[in-house]
This record gives sequence, structure tokens and C-alpha cells, in this order.
Amino acid sequence: MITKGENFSRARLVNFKPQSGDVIESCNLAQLQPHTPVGLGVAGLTYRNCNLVNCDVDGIVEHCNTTQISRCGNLHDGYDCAVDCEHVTSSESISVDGVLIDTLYEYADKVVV
Amino acid sequence: MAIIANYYVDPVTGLDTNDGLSTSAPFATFQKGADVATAGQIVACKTSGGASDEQPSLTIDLDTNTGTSTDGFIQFIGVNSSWDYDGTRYILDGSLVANLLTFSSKTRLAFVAIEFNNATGNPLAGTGGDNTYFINCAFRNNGSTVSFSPCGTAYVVMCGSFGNDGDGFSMPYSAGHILLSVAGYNTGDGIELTSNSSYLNSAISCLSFNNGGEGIDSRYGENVIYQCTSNDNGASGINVDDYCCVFGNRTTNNARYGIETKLNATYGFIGFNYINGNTLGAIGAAQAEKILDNFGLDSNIYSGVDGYNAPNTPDYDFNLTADATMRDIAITLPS
Repeated sequence: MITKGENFSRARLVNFKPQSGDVIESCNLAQLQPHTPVGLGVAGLTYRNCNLVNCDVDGIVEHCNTTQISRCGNLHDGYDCAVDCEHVTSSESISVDGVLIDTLYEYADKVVV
Repeated sequence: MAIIANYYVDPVTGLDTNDGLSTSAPFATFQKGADVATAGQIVACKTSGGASDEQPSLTIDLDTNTGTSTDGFIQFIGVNSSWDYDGTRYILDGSLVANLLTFSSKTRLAFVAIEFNNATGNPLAGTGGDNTYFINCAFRNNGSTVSFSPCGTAYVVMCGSFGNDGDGFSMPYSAGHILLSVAGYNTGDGIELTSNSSYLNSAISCLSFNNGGEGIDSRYGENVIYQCTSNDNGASGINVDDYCCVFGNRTTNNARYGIETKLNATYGFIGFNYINGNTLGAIGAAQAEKILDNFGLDSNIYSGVDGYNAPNTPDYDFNLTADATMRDIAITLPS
């Protein structure tokens, strides 16, 4: 069976129920956290022109976006990050009369392996 | 008939050491065409016919282009294997590239039949690029929202945005207009219009379906949403703020309201829309002035109108109220 043009991203992943040998074409399966298992254990799947950001999949992958991105909760809703999380790219301490009053952070999402 | 251009790109037979001036000596990359083209020139980009024409190893920087606003646009046009323009798109594939194109303040660009796919972030970056046109382009499976904020003023015509991990089309605070375009199965909103006090955005005759957020999200008001269809989205079909004109649209089977006014629909106009089968109701209104003459209000799953802060001041042509069951609508003329 060919599944084409569906949105299985994030909470909609519960609707993704592939059968052995299916072709998944032009679908969005992007997930919040890196290496989220998607369709594992189903044999013979083919993903073609899909968004597989943060997905771990089995089978044949043809021309899909397979990036793993660790997103920062200080930049996006739905993620839990401390102010000094791993996504900090630079910080600046602000002091008055030698007393630290604030620290400004810059953040960026990270592409991970 | 082969297109007549100033420069030609063929990723299969071309070489970037060619002069690129003819189909017999084309460049190999879009990057090279972008490097040499100046205002008023056309770059014809020939599809390879495969899944991917070009995978830039670096962001394509358009800062090298020269010319003034009166010299015309630099046009990048996708053509088929016979160098004809027939709608066949040239594909820029961004695997492991954060952004595909970087704009500069001097660029004045038109992209025709080009796809921007698989970037790890927003395929568009930089600043400037005012009056950038995207015609018959597509944006697929990118790792974040496809935002046109790097472009300043953007015109998106007959384009598609599908399967992106974010919003399909996100228009910036300055003017952006989307016409005859389609956004589907994106993780976020299908179309997001963000206005400010000086500019308005518009979505006209667009389709937004099966997105994770709103079908069309209009933020900070002063936007026009006209003759669009928004269906089967994960939130409301159309979400609007102040001063918006939402006119002649069709919103069906969305997970929240057909049309939702999250903040204050002050001075907004929501009229002559067909709204049906939305989960929470037809119109969710914080302050629902000038909501009139919508069709299909009784056909929603839960209720016709949820006017939970209505009625409002009688300074408007119509006020709108809903009863306790939120099934009946009363329109009261001001005294």
C-alpha cells in the first residue's frame, strides 16, 4: 500500500500504522526529540520524499530529510530546557559595581548525530 | 521552444568553468549562476529529471549580485530537459545545509519553478531581498518553518509548501502576500501572517489542509484572508487578531474553531464564510464585532458561535451573542 501526503508529525504519530511492504511517500513524520522510533519492526518499508526529522526508521529511505535536531526550549514551545542549557552559544554577564545582576544567553538548535 | 536566458545551468552536463552563456556550455550549479547574474538577467536551471538536482555544500549567497531597483529582477527559472519552461521545477536539496539561500540588502529576485527542499532549518536566510517573488515554487520537508522574513516584502504565487517541520508559509512583519498557493501536512501552521502597524499581509485563494496548527494564522491584525479554504488542520481553520478582514473563506473539519479570534477582533470583519464541521464550533470569538452573514453556522459539531465575551459595546453595526448552550445566535442592532 502507498500512503501519500499525510501528516504523522508529533502527536499524530499514533495514527501511523504501516504494514509490511508499505511505501510512505511525501509524508511528514517529524518528531520533537532526536531519534524517536518510527515504524520500527515493520519489514520492508520504503520512505520516499518524507520529512523524517528526528525519526529513527527501518527500511529504504529515498530523498528524505533525515536530520536529527536537538531543539532548545528557550527558543521553542514544547521543550524543557534550563537557561544555561546545552544550546547556549554565548553568554554575557552584566555587572554593576562588581555585582552580577544578570546573564544574557544566546541559544541555537543543534544538529546531532 | 528553449527558453532564452543570459545564463544556463545543467547539473548533469555542465561545468562551472564554462561561461554559462549557452545551452552547449552551461554551468553545473545554481550557485555559479547566482554568482554571476546581475540585475535584469535570467538564469535558466535545467532539471536533471532525478529526485535531486543540486545539493549545495554551502549556502548559496546572493550578495554578489549588482544593480539597482530600476534595473529589473534577477530571475532564476526552472526548465525541463529540453530547456523549455513547462512548470518543471529545478530542485535545490538542502540535506545537511541549514539554509539554502542567503539574501542581501541589494537583491531583487524572482524564483520561478524552483524547489527548496530538505534544509535542516529555514531554507531562506539573510536580510533584505525586498520585492522577492516566488512563482510556481515549492518548499518540502525542511527542518523548520519556511519563513520569508529574510525577504522583506515577499510575493508567493502558485506555490506549495508541504511536510515542513514548522509553518508552511510564514510571512514577516513587513508585507507578504500569498496567492493561489497550497500548504499541507506541515507540523505547524499552514500559513502564518504576521503584521505590524505599517504593513498588511494577505492570503488570497489559498488552500491550507492537514497541518498540525492553524490552517491560516493571522497575527497582530491588519491582514486580509480572502477566498481561502482551510480544512482538517490540528487547530482552528483561521485564527485572527484585530483589524483583520476574513471574507469569503471555507473552513471545515478543523480540530478547533472554523474561525477563531484569540485576542480582540476589534474592528475586524468576518463575513460571508462557509464554516462547517469544526470540532469546537464555527467562530470562537473573544470580542466579536462585525461578525455577520456567515453561512453554515448550524452545521458545526459542537456549536454555532462561541461568543464568550460578547456582546460588546454598541458602537458597531452588529453585536453578537450566544446563549448558554452556545447553539443559538442572536444579532442585536445597536440603538
